[in-house]
Amino acid sequence: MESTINIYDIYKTMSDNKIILIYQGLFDQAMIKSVIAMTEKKLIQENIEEGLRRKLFNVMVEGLQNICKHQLITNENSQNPFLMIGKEEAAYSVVTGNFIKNDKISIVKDKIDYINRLNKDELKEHYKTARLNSVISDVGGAGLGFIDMVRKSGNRLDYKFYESDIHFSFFILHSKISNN
Amino acid sequence: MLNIIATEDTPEITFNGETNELIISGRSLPEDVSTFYKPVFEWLEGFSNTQTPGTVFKFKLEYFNTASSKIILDILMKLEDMMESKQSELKIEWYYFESDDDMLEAGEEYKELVEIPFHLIAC
Repeated sequence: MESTINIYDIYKTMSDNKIILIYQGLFDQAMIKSVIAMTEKKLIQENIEEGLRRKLFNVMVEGLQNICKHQLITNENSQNPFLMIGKEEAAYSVVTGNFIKNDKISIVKDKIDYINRLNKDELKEHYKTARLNSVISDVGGAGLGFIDMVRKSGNRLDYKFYESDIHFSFFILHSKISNN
Repeated sequence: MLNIIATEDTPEITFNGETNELIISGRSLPEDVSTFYKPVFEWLEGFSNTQTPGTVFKFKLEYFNTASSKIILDILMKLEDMMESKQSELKIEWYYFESDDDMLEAGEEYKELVEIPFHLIAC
């Protein structure tokens, strides 16, 4: 079999880095359901404790539904969102990547930076206030995803924006879920 | 009666207007919460116009996403209005797995927000 990509390299990279799953393509509810079912099955096989599984499930749903609701639909397949689930020592990682308009960067950045500065009790208060004031948007979101991801995972969100051109950037969001 | 069968991403809804036992159970992460919960609010609207002695609303959720968390708050607010306007008896039972601290905490947070008898029950 001839191929321009070396499958064994990909396999090695995935197993050396303990990557469970990599996906690139459009996100929809059916895709989310299957990814979750697949990951849960794998975690059960690995005898991962229920509390950690629940936290990972939580963070995955919020992260994936976020993308589902905010992904840019373009004709360019190369602009499809991305998902990676992996393991780093004792923690699991959920990494998502999607293109966003450059003029939206500061809104997203400010939102995450603000949440990342809060301690546990402040997060709880912020969540409660934000929920009271939230209105379900046209795309069906409550605007609470990032706060919930930090609360449930117990870890701050890492992020990075890679400018792709004058209009768009690739936004990477990394959430670590550990048992604490 | 309102009966909605559970799916992988939506909860089971069993509202019985004769026994006045209203139950939401399972997982709630629908793609579109507003559409999914529309019949719930419509049913509650009709129910609030009838006599409702000793109503028990049971939340038996194992997971809900943030959009559902907002909807649950709206349901509780609706129940509170019902209780205040008719002075009918109503109580909430919030079930959680004993090992699930997040679900307990979620129940505690709702309990602080509404003036309805609210019981947290470990199972």
